[in-house]
Amino acid sequence: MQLRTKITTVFIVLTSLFLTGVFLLIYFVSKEYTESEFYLRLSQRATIAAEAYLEADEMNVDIYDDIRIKHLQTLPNEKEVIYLVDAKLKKPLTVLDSKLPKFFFKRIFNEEYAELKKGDYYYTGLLYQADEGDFIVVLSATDLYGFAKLDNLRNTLIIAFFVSIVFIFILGNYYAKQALSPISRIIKEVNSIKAENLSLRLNTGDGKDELAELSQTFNNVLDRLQLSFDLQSNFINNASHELRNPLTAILGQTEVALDKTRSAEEYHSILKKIDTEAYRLDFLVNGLLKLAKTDFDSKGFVINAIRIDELVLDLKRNIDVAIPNNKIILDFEDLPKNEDAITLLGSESLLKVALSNIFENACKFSENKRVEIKIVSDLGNILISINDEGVGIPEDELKNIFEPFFRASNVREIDGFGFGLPLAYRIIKMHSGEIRVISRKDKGTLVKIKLPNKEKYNSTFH
Amino acid sequence: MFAQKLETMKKILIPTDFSVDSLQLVEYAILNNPNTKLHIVFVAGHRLPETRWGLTHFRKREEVSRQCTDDFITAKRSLVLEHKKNIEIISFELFTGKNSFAFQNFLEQLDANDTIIPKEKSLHCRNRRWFDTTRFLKKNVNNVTEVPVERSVEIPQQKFSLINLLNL
Repeated sequence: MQLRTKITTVFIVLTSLFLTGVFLLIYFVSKEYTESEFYLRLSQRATIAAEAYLEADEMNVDIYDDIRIKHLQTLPNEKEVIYLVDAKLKKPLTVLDSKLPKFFFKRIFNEEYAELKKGDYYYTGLLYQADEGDFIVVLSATDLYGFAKLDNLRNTLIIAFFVSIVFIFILGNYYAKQALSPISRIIKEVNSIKAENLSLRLNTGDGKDELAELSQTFNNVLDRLQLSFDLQSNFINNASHELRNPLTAILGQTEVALDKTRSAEEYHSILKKIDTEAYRLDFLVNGLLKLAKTDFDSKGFVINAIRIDELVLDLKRNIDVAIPNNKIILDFEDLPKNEDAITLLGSESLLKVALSNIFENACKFSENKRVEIKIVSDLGNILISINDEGVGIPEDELKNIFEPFFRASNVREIDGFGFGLPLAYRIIKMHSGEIRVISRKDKGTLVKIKLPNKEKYNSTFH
Repeated sequence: MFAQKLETMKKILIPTDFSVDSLQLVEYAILNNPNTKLHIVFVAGHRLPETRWGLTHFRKREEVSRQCTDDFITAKRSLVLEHKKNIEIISFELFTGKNSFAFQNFLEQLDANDTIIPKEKSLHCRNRRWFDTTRFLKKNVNNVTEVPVERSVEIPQQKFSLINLLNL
């Protein structure tokens, strides 16, 4: 069933139920009121009849008949019957109408008044005590006008019901169509987007309702898809480019070497150049392999308990050898005494790769200006912050820094391949950690790493 | 090799919606002022109660602590711990005025010339009594630094309005 038909049907069913309820209420309240009004008239007429017939004055009967004919008019099928009874003993002294139920007379004896509806006839009975004795006056009539009014009301309500349903059907159908038309538009627009025109986006209108939010969500998905497409194509381009450079250099050198017979020094120089390029190629391929390895799940690596301060000190010693003029400042002032709070469970070799990449980046992109590394432990986490005063990352490029081979526009002159930070990101994620980068161009970069410590690990997994 | 002590001190105004994401502004403040001790003043807009009872029992500290979620308190604690060297003090100030004139008076009391504000509208006050002070800070403070703030949670948009009800 189409959503539009479903909405219209539900709308009609609910409205019909509601209308039926309201119309039934109107009809029965009117019926109740008409009946009570007729009973009142009957009881008034019964009282007048009793007064007229039972008071011992012949004049009254004439006056009553005169008033009734002139002013009160006779009710349709009106009939008055007076029975002589003994009110104290609650017994009739004449024969009661056997067509009327006994409880009707019993109620008259008990409550001095009773009402009854039998077929189309309404009955009221009064217990009247006069000088001549006790009497029951029973007045009966049919409410032809009331019935006609109720029939008219019923017919009007039935017609109103069906007219309403027709209107509701037309309006509901139109409104459902209007409400769902943006969805049809979205479907049409989404279908028109293919891999070749991934830059197309859906129209979000004023951007305030749920459908605009849906379009916006689609647009966000398309943004991510396009970014991932671009990055994938960039990755292949960059990787091919990076691999081709040393290979071209090696081929060039071998061509030079094979071109003619050369001296031993010349061969040595050519081999040295080939060695440099081969080393570069090796570094690149190793980096790519590491990156590929981290894409697999974390089942493969060996988990050890690692003291983060010792790991960082170890890395600092390595960096001191590789970059002697680095200005890394370590701040361990706020480290807790509890060893478990600064110990994490993970792969030492992988974490070394991740942290050394970040530390080296901080030194490299700040031209060996001051780099502060601070470690603290708080609420089950080890927090490492690396703050440099380097070139920073342009604001609009921050979202791409964890993508392989991405290099910020302001560091193209500085050597590198662009897989240090992506590798670090994957390794930190493998250790259930978080990494955030806050950066301002020409101001510096603040890298924040959060890793669960041994205490948290034990409480979570045991 | 180990950390050095910092000398100078600076007061920086930072708008807040008491969300963890808004604390990124403090990190940018630290990044922008590397060798400076910072007095971070979180500025939040708050509408004063209309009733006499509400006004008599209005306490800034209570209102602020009511807004601070556990996540916000934890994140602030970690932030202070991580940047103890840079952050001297963090305080909260409530702006209860309605216009720039009132805000200028408010600024005079605070005696601060620097602010770090989000570049896009990324602060969102959940309670209608609270409002974002970014536009006042941008307009009235001398040294304004705009930085990108990354939201981890989407800001909800106003969903219900009478005009939009029939406007499909």
